[in-house]
Amino acid sequence: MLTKDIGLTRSIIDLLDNCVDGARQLRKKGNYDGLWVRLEASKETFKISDNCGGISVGITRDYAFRFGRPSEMEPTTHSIGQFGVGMKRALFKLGKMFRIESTTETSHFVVEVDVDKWKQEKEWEFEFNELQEKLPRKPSRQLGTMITVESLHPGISERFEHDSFQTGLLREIQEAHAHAMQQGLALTLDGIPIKYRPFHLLQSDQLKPGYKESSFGKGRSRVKVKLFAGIAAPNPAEAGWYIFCNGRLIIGADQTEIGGWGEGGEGTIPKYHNTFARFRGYVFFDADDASQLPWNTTKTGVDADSRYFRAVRLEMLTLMRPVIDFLRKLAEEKKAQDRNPLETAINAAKERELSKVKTHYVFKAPKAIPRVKGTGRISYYKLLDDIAKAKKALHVTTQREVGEKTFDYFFKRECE
Amino acid sequence: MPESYEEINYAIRPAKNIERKMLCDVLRKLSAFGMVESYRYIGFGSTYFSDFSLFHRALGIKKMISIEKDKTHSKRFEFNRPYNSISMQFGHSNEILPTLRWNSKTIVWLDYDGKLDKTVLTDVKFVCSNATAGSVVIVTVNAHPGDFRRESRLIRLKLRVGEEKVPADIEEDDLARWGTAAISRRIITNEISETLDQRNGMLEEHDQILYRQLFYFQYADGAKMLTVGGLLYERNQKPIVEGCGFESLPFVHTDLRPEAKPCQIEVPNLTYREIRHLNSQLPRERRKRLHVPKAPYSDLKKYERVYRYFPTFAEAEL
Repeated sequence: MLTKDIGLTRSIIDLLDNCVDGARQLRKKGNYDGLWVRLEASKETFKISDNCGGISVGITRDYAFRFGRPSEMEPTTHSIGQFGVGMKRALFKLGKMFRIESTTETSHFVVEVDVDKWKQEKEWEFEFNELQEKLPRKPSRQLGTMITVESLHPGISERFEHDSFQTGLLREIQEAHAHAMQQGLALTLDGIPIKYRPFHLLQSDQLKPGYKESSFGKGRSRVKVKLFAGIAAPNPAEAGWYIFCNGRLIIGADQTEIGGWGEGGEGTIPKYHNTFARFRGYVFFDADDASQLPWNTTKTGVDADSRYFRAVRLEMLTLMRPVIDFLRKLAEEKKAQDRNPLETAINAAKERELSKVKTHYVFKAPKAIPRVKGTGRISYYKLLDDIAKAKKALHVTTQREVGEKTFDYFFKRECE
Repeated sequence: MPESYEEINYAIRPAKNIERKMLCDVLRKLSAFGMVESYRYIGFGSTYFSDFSLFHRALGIKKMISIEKDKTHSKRFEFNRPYNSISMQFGHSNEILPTLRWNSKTIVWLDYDGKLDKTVLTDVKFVCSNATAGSVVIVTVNAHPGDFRRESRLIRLKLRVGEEKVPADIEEDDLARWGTAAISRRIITNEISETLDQRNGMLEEHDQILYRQLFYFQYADGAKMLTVGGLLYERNQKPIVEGCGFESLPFVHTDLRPEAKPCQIEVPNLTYREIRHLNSQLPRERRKRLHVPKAPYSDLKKYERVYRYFPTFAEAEL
């Protein structure tokens, strides 16, 4: 059984991917308002139900209950659940008894499996416990799927009881399916609605993220690519590259060579460092034919050897370098002067969602004030009352000017 | 420590002067790709802008960008621009190149004073990732082998460019004399081909970008220098490249093999009077031998190879 190679959270997200695929099939234009998925995870039961169209009998009989996805199957346009193995593997990972009930416009079925009994059968076959086909269409019929798993494996049911598991699962779902949620799909976990955190970048007139579009392949194999690079709040856990395939987040906050960090022996791009805690890069791959996308089979990562990804990675390097240079100058500005135009510009910028942010062909930011060569810094403390008197006498308004002018005053008389 | 432009008057270096003019002659042949004057030129002008002047006058190129590291004397550089269509960009080339628009054909001459290092390879990577077909990339680096009395030249090379960029078969002795130049060329050419390889991953076969080397010069006005570079073109533009007729110029060097001999620019040691006397015998008729009383014959041959580009007595950089 192929269950060992994916984590629990991944399994659940695999099941969720199927629901989102259903939504995509149902609403080709991409508006998912009114569609929902409900997840429940407790010590005794795991349940995932949705109203996203249901699984047809044909697919269930001929494909969904076979390992792997037979090549004759019609590829689902723009899908993310393309690998077929996901559902069975997830169910086997979760527990020993599972039940799938699904209703489409013209069919309804139930499959119940007791894994221990099933393992003893010679053939790897499944049977329908209930099956109705060619039903008359009824607008009131709820179309969707309900999957229930019981007799959860001991390790699994324990984890379901921990708050930290719920929190972790929530976060992963929020990230992986932010796009679907942005389009109106309502997800709940144990009754709690999952809020999506849209990805965003800081933007103002002076500060704009860099943006590039490109594409490769032709016709049905065409893949469109959109890249963003910019800055957001300083948060090391969130800094880095985010890579999406058909709206599903595959890698988040990447700080490794995959995202170009350390490229060229750190000559091209430095290794990730908290100086870059504000960096955010987003790459969206979108394709009708999901097999063209540069992800690995478990959707946990990018296929770094993919020739498409390696080409897009060059574009990532070009787009990210100006952001890196800006962040270095920002760090220097903090150390050096009390004038901080870069920090001021950042504070004046607002967070904008990716779909709304104004971009530029390259990251645009104000230039740092160049350090004048051969200058040094003098700093000291004096009584505020005295400083106020000096300001008046010198006709200046800032403490810095007081320092500069008093120095000049002395220097002219005693040194020149 | 003074900047390089404060130490050397670039205009006087004769081999560099010859190289510049040879490059210009080759670039003129790009007209098969489109009017040469419509190209953009990017270089490191310093305060002399010799390449900018020449390319503007001889080729008509107007869109020009000079990248200059020294930000603190920006006004001096602005003042010294010979033509107003030269736009200054202050900052390190690693920082500037990714911020430029790359949607038009460009001639980029990365003319460094220093030796090959990670920043040079980074520039090569950025240019080759982004330049459009029909563009030309040229890299000049100092190829003087380091002091042999210090620790290993090979180790120093690995530190400068990164260990993974040095081919595994290079040994210490390979870096002596002009060996450093040859190996620097190999490393630069590797960077060009690897970058193009990655870039081509998303292109249809006929759109894939290829590199045709055109330049492989070695010369020494003081330190040994290397210039390597060539044309980036789409596979389906091969007929256009053939149509340019680059090979009709004897100093064009298209052989990519690491062991290929470079085009050496050697400046003969002749007086201006001897040069004028030689000029009257050139172009040399077949079977006739060049003759200048008491001058070494090898110098006469050296002169013949570069005579059309040799800085003449009356010529001054104005």
